[in-house]
Parts: sequence; C-alpha cells; structure tokens
Amino acid sequence: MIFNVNKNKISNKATLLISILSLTFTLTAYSKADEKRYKEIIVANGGCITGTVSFDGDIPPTKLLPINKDHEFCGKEPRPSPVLEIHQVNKGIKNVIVSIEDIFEGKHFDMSGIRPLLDQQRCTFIPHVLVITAGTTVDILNGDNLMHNVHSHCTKNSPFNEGTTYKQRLSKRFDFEETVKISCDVHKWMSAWIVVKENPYFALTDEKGRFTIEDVPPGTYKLQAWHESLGINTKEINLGPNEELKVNFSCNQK
Amino acid sequence: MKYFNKKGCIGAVAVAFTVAFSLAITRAYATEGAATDGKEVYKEYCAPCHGEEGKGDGPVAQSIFPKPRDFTTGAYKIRSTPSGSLPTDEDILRTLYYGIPGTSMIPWDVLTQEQREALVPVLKGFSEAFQYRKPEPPVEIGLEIRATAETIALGKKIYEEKECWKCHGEEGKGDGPSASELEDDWGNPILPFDFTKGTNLRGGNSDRDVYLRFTTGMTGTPMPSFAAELSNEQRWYLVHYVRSLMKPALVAKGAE
Ligand code: HEC
Ligand code: HEC
Repeated sequence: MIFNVNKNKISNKATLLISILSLTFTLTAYSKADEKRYKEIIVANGGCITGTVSFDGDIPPTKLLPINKDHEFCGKEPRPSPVLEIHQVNKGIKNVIVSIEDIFEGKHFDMSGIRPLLDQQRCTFIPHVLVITAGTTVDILNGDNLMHNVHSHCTKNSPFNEGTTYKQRLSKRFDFEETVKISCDVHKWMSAWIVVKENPYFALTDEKGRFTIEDVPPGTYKLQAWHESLGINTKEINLGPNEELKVNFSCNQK
Repeated sequence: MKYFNKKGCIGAVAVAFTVAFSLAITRAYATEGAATDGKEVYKEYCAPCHGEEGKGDGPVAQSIFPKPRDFTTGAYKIRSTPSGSLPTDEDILRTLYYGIPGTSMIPWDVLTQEQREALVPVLKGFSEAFQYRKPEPPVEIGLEIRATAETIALGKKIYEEKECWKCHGEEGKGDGPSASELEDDWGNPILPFDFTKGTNLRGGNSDRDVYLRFTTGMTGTPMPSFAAELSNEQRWYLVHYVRSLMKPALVAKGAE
C-alpha cells in the first residue's frame, strides 16, 4: 500500500522510514495489552492437586459488621463479616484462591460464553469472592430497591464507580490479571473481590477450605494461596504424571 | 472506512510525518533550553507536591489537604471520558491550565503551553495504566435545555430518586448520612461537595462542567457516574437543580 502512494522515490523512502517508525511506536505503546503468556495445549497424563486451606491457631471470634443505615432494605442486625470465614469443625478457610502462578502451557479454557454474576442482595455482594480468567465479562446486578454505587479499585483494568438503581445491570469486562476490590461508598460494610487470572489453573475454597485443581501437566510449580486478609502463602510442588497430589496450606493472622 | 482509500493513505502518512517532524523539533528544542523538557519542568514545579516519582508524596504533601494526586494509579477525577476510562490529553491539559479550585493545585498558567504539553507524557509515564488502556472517547453532552422553575423541580425529584442526598445531603450541604464515612481510593477522608457554599467546583463552574462530573464520575473518589441512570434531559434537569442550590450571588460571581 505504501509503495503505491508516491511516485517520487525520495519521498518513498522517507514515508517508508516514517511508517516503520510509527509502526514500532504503536507496537511498543500497547505491547502490555497484547501480551499473552498462556498457551493452550492438549494435556496428556495430567495430574490433580487437591487439599485444604486451614487456619492455624484458635479461631478468632467472628467480626460483626454494623448496619448503620437503610434498615428497611438492608436489615438491622449486625451481620457476620465475610472477610474471614473459618469452619468451626475442621478450621477450613472459605474464599481462598489457590492457583498455579508459573504455568504457561496447559488445558484449554473458554469462558467467553460464561457471564459470572456479582449480585447485591440486602446490601451484601454475592458472592464475596469471584475468580475469573482475563477477558471475562461480569454482570453486576442490584437486587435491592435502593441505590448502590459499584466502585472498583484497580489500575490495569478500568476503575469504574457507577450509581445503580434496583434491577440495573452493569456489564464489565476484565482484561488483565489483577486483584480488584469492589466496594459501595454508600454502604461502607459492603465489599467484594473480583480476581482476574491469566491461566485457568485456580480454585476457590469452599466453606471447609477444600480445593481441587485438575488437568495439570506434570511438572514443578509454585502453588499460591491468596486470602484477602491473611495474605499470600506459596509452596513449591512437584506433580508426576496422572498423580493426585495432596497439598495442605495452614495460614494464620500475621 | 473512508480514511483508508488511496488518498486517505497519503493523508495518514502526511499526518504521521508531521507528528514525527514536530516531535523532532520538540526534541531539538528541549535539548537547547531545559525549560521545555517535561521532566525538568515536573521536577521544578510539580515534584514538591506530587513527588519525584509521581506518588503524591513530595516534601510539601504532608501539610496539604486534599492530598496531591498520586499519579501511579492513573485515577483522574476531572475527565470528559466515561467512568473507568483514562483521561484524554486535553482533559489533563485543561486541569493544568485551570487548576483545581478549592485545593492547592493552582492554575499553571505561569507555564507556557509548550511546557504544559511537555508535562502530559511525564504524568502518564508514572502509571502503568496508560500502557494497558487507551482513553475512551469523551461522553456526549446532549442538546442543552433552558432552566425553568419546572426543570428545577424535575431535577429535585431526580436528586431524591437517585439518592444524591445520601452523600450531598437533603439540602445539598454535603452532610448526607454517608458523608462522614467517605474515603478516597488512597484511604484519605473526603467530603461530598457542599452546593450551598457556591461555585468552587473542582472541575469547573459551567453548566457543562457540572453535567460532566456526575456523568463521568470522579475516579478515585466516592463520587459515582450516573451515565447509565440518566437521559440527556434528566442530566440537564439535575444541573438546573444543583445550580439552584448554589447561592445566587455566588453563582453570578463564579459564572464564566
Ligand atoms: C502545592 C501543591 C501542588 C503542586 C505544586 C502541584 N499540584 Fe497538582 N495537585 C495538587 C493537589 C492537592 C491535587 C489534588 C486535588 C484534588 O484531589 O481535588 C492535585 C491534582 C493534580 C492532578 C489531578 C487532576 C485530576 O483530574 O484528578 C494533576 C493532573 C496535577 N495535579 C498535575 C500537576 C502538575 C503537572 C503540576 C506541576 C506543574 C502540579 N500538579 C503541581 C497539588 C499540587
Ligand atoms: C457515594 C457518595 C456520593 C453520591 C451518591 C453522590 N456524590 Fe456527588 N460527590 C461526592 C464526593 C465525595 C464529591 C467530592 C469529590 C472531590 O472533591 O473530589 C462529590 C462531588 C460532586 C460534585 C462537584 C464536582 C466538582 O467539580 O467539584 C457534583 C456536581 C456532584 N457531586 C453531583 C452529584 C449528583 C448530581 C449526585 C446524584 C446524581 C451525586 N453527586 C451523588 C460523593 C457523592
């Protein structure tokens, strides 16, 4: 295309040079956005990592969140904080994200058809923690008959803050790996997390702290357990072909 | 696309050429006189508040409220772009020219236009956000509606329904039930605007400015965007109502 433009040879050279210059410029300018580190392959002899994340020490008393406004829609009673939920019997910790951080090849995943929901019900975000892969769109709903504002705290993804009425739906796409906190400025006690991952090797612990990560190619990896208030714990693991590897994490308040 | 026919191609190349050329000129100029090197200007005029690395932690920052902006997160309050978007270069230049009334961020009209333009890439360079995202196109400001007693009354209704009062108070005094608990994204306390105090609006005093603030939201603060909630007409009604809360004398004085 470039060569058709000018009959004059000198300016031809000049335009070529400039095009190359501007091309390199555009490439470097948005290289971060285009960076894709994960490659999908067919996983043969994949293994599985399973285990429990549990609390080390005496279970601290559950924090209660005071509900200081909008009682007719939000309720009156102080409610248990969703930040740290520990199972009374096995001390398993809920809402921990266990993930393989340094894996660049592995199972196929396609979340394009899946639209996870983040709902607001009686002035609480449901679920409290949502894990998605980069490129996923989340539908954020307001199930309460009052205004909420949905405020995201992030840098790579878009830091939005939008007022929403009853039954309003916000569709937000998260393109980059990042841990995004969500809050509502009107109702201080409300909080949630949308954690965006680059690869599909993650699991969210259930109320007993249990997790399972499947179809992992054999290899040596860094396994990470993230919790919003307990922070990050990592373990090096070695997974053999078709192995079911048990890994337990035990975390405490630092 | 129209622009990419053959003629358009020449045009595009010409544009690229002009850009490259003017860049070359600025470079040459910058090396001669340090005054238009954005980094130098930043160090001299901005770093005392915003910090050498743009973290909002310059030596003067401690004694200032509201705090100088931390540029590393890419959160800009005063934008023409939708909630979640980065600002355009024009948005940043606008803030540099007019400053942010009611704060220690003065209008930087003492600098030359070239100097302000040279600062823009420096500010953007502090945040990785600009490497991941591009600013979205500015929001549209629809046909303006003239203020009447009726539009003000309609605006009042919207103010109640959309619960602006939760933060700004029933009479617009900035004393709503949530007002005392608000924090900005950096954990500093922040107050909702008190409309009765007049027209020291951070993002400018014109009707269009007010329209933009609640349409785009003020990123980094609790002030949300209501773009998805309001039609163009409703936005103007709300502008009229919010204006009616400001004392007439002050409005007249602050009007552009
Ligand atoms: C005396 C301290 C001070 C100096 C010097 C200063 N600023 Fe600021 N600046 C502030 C404060 C305070 C804010 C935050 C105001 C607010 O959040 O309402 C701010 C905010 C900003 C913003 C954010 C605008 C937005 O939309 O959120 C930009 C951009 C900015 N300053 C650029 C500059 C540049 C460029 C210079 C140097 C020419 C400079 N500032 C010098 C105090 C200062
Ligand atoms: C969750 C609390 C909250 C709600 C709800 C809210 N605001 Fe605000 N608003 C704020 C805060 C905080 C500021 C001050 C931001 C700053 O100083 O940077 C503000 C500032 C403003 C400003 C001043 C902008 C400027 O340039 O200084 C206007 C205008 C405004 N809000 C209009 C509205 C309208 C209209 C609504 C309802 C549709 C609304 N706000 C709802 C918290 C809120």
